[in-house]
Amino acid sequence: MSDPTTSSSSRPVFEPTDIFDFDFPPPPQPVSTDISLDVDPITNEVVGNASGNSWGKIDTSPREFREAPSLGGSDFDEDEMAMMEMERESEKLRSTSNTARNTAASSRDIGQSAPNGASQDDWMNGPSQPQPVASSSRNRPALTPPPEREASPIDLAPLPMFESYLDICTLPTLRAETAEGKMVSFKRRNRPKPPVIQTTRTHKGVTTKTDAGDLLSVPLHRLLAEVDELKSQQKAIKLQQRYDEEQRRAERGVLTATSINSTMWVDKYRPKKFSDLLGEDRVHREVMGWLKEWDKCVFKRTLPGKKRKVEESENFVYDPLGRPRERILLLSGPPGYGKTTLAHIVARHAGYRTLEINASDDRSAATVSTRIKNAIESGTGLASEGKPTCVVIDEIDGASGGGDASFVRSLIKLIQDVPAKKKSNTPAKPLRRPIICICNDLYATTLRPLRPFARIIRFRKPQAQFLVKRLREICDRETLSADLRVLTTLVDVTSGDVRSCLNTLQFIKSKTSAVTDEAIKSSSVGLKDSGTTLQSVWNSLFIPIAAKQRRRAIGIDDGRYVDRISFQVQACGDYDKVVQGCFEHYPNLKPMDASLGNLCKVHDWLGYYDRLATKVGDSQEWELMGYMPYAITAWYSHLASPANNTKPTEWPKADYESYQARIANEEIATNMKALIPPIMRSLFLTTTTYTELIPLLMRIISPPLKPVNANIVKPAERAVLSRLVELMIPLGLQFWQEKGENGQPMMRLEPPIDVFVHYDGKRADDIIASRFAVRQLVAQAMDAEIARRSGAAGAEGTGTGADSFSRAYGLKSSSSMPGTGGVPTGQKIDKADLPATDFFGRQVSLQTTPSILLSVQEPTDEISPLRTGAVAPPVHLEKPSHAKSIFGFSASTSPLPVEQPPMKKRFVAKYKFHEGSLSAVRRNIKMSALM
Amino acid sequence: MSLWVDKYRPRTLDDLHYHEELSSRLRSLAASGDFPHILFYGPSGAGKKTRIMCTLRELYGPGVEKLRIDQRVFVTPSNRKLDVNVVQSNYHIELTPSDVGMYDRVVIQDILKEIAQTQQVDLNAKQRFKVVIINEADSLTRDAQAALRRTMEKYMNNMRLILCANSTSKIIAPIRSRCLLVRVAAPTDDEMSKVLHHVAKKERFSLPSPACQSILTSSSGNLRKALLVFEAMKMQKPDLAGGDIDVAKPDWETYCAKVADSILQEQSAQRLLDVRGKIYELLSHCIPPTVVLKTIAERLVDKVDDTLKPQIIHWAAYYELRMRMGSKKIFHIEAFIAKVMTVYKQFHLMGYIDDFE
Repeated sequence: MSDPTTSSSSRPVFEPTDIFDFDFPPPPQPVSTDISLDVDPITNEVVGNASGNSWGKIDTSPREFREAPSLGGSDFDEDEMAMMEMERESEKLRSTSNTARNTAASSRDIGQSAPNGASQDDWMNGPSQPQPVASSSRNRPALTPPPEREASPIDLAPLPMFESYLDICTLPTLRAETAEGKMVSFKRRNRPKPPVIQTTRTHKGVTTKTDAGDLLSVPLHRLLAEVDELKSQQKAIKLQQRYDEEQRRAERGVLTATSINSTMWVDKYRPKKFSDLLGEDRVHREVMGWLKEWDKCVFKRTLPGKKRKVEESENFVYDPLGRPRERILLLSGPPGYGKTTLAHIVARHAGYRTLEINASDDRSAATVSTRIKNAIESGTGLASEGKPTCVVIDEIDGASGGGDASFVRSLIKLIQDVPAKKKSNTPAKPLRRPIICICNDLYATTLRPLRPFARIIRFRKPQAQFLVKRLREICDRETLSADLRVLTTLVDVTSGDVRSCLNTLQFIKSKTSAVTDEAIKSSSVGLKDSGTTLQSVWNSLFIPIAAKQRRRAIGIDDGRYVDRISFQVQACGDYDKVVQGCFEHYPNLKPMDASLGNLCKVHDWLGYYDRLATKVGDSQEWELMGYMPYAITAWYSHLASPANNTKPTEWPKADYESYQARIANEEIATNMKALIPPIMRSLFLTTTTYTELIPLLMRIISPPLKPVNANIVKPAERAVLSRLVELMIPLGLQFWQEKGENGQPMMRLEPPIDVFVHYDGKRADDIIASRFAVRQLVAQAMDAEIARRSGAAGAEGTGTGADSFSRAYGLKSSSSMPGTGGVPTGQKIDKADLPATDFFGRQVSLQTTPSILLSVQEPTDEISPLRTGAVAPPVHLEKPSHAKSIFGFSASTSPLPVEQPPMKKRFVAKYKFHEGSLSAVRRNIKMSALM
Repeated sequence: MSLWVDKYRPRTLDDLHYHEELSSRLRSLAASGDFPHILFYGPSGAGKKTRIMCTLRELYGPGVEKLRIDQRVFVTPSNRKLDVNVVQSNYHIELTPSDVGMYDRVVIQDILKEIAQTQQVDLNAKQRFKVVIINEADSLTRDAQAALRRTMEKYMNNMRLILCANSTSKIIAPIRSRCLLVRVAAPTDDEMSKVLHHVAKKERFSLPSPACQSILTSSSGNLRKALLVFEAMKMQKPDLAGGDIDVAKPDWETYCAKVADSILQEQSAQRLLDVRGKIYELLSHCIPPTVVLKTIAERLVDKVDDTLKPQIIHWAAYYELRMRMGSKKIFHIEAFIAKVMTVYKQFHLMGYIDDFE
């Protein structure tokens, strides 16, 4: 039995709505609310006056019922509720709006007073009923309002009729008389009255306002039978209803339960005011400041302080409309930091209406012209409540499409006031409203064109303590018990993502009422898939977690590092970089045992990793990728040590540097190979070029020469020099004069294959440093030789098969090196030779017809390279005077001597080569002299 | 006048200095009229390429030596354009897969089809078919080799393949079975010294035998290298006299030896780091990683105690295998070095060695 005071105090809080909302099936709800309203005054009144226990009990019973909805608390409750519901049901059926109220009121009365004797079943069933009756009888006067509302005779009339019956029942409760303040005349028979009234009322409800006279005429037993019948009907209806209700509830399941508090906490506790915002004030103010800069344009008002500041800034561009320099604001930051909220609040705060366009909307170039432009240019319409519009474009980094017609492009056109049609001369309407863009990834490719035009504001992680404080407040309000430590962990785990914090809390709240470490741990399965940085992966690989930290961080047991680290590695994703960093860093680490055993184990893992990676990369077996993090994780057991703290892992670069150097060197070698004759090319394949040809060639072309005047060198040295020249020309090697870094002139080898003999930046010991003078000497000799050859080539029309390059070079050198004396000589030879060819041609035709035939025939067989073949006989005959070296050269590359033995025999030409770098001495000799 | 390697290269099968039997066989093959696909294999510098050129000359005459370089453009399936320089004559064409990189299949297919589908236009040509030489056939990818299989049979009328490889192990069996396998063994020291003396005679000087001996030892059966070394020595010291003559050695070999020495000097993580720098230096000079590993291992074997030699050989083989299976060469070279350090240190400090594995 509850205390009257408590019951009365608690009642107003939840009685009306709670009971009725819950008990009644949805369809009759409107009716039921009506009724409940009607009943309210009565019950309230009753409550107000009530001092007896029974009322308290009646009132509490619905509460019990509410708490255990499926099963009634007791028979009594059930019956009572059944009565009430039956009553309403019947009301509905009859739809007698007039009486609805009264009947409802009376039904309530029936419910309350039923034990008093109206129904014998109840009376018999409820053993504790004498007590309620007593109290109710005592309270009876409280029920007087109904009589006042209705015709009083109705109330009065039936009473005598039931007198005898009631007397029997209520005989012991005589003291109820004292409660009669109003009805004096019925003092003695007051007790029986209430039941009578109620029965009559029920009756009345059924029979629609039967008169009191009618009641008198109906015998009691019939009335009782009627009541019984009604009751059983009601019971049936109620059972049906309950069945239906259960059915429905089962269908809707949880939905109905959650619908009660369906609002997400994220929305519920979204900041509503500027001062509510969480995070860096500086950022908020910055956004607000930018928006305020628009005031001059939008609201035609100025902010004195701000304006001055803007004008002071150096590259202030005067805008006739007074808009800020960047007409678009780009907020960037990880999810859950409150970017969208900030944009909306600031816009509202500054007096704008916001139009949000997010990923759910169509975002094409058309959107810009239709939605955004319309919203901006329509001014203050009805819908905007007289406020200007600020467009908030959320998740702009997801706006797909590139090219000219993309969303971002057209947005840029919009903010740059580019006219929509290129032809039209009408200037575009300038942008007069602020646009705020929000993105997660500032460096998304789609945003690249936008960045230069936008004022960019980055969001950083809100400070943990503020966030924790806010979470704490929310928990308090939601009666979720959470201590600061747990909340701090939560913030740590979500890395400051407010949204995910709140969602986690709400999720926990739906299960328990207290936030614990375990709860957070179990719910943090859906952690943000945020990438870990390489540096953090390396750190956790090499530095074990300190004990203190370990204790604080949840669920980390250092004996079980595999999950933790492999998760981190996986989150980082860039396995190759991780491994490369580890590889370049591990020799610097502390815990190396003397036998280097650790190293071998680490290398085993490294090899394993590399094999996996190769397999994945080569044969696309992505299934194996799952094992790769573990190959990295294993490093921890071999290398992790607290002492590594002092040596942060550096960004791996050695491999890339080596790679670049190799590419550069390969390029040099390729250049060289492009210049050497084809046969060399096919003799020296790629690797042998690097391992054999170039290193040894460098030795071959750097003989120990003394830098002396070419005229006074010893014969032996002269032989070496000439051989060098002969070697270098076909190989396409040259020396170029250049200014060195210190301004000293230097001769550079081109192509610079000398890099291949420089290791660690030093030249090999056995190669003699080729001095500038020597190189110069060689270069001069080469120039002279080339000049001579070019002269010869000019005479013959072309060079030999191999030296199309040297021909090109020769032309270049003859124009660029006029001072060496080689050129005039060459030219002279040129002039001298031309007639000789003519002359020679005649000569040959006279003397050797077969050879001419041969030379004519060959070009038809073999196309271009055989021009040498065609002129070969002339070479033999004609050139002795000046270009013996050329002959030697061409002979080595052309197969002529071998192919034409008969001809060779017929014209045996013997001549002596006059040695010298220049063929300065020229004599005209007759053909006959050569034969 | 080019390098001696080229200058004194035998041009005909008759000029060849050694493997007489092989020369006569090639000669009769060229004469027989049913010239097969041939796979030449043998160590580097043994004279495979020379023999191929001689055989071609036997087939087509001297016209085959008129080489030219054509730049060809190939389009990969991913629409990338590849510029490839192809050495060719009127009768044959040469391909080197390493010039092409990973797209060798495309290039092989294109070129083979092109050659196979065009008949020899030169009516005076001695043979109806053209020859495609594929250098470094063992570095062809599997795809490319597979692409060869059918074309080899299908276009036999118009085309013969001559493959040139160091070993047959990387050539897939279907191709091996379609080719005549010709092994060109490395010349013996006698044969090599004969060649060297021949060159010296042509150049009109005499080669003193100590110099000859040192050239032979440094080139270890690689005649091409021997000739280059010979010429380098001649250029550096024209007289070639003197008791201990300095053999010109490629720089990377010297450098590898230095690496090996520094491994044996000290075994520590710091030294490992130093060595790594040197390895990177070698790799950036385009020395193939397998060659680096092998050279270092050889040098180590030279230097260490006899009981350690099998260990080092074992681990060199082990890590070279790993290197071939993986893609980051430096990892495996360093793993080898770390292993050698461990073994060496263990042996010298504790006097024992573990069993393999």
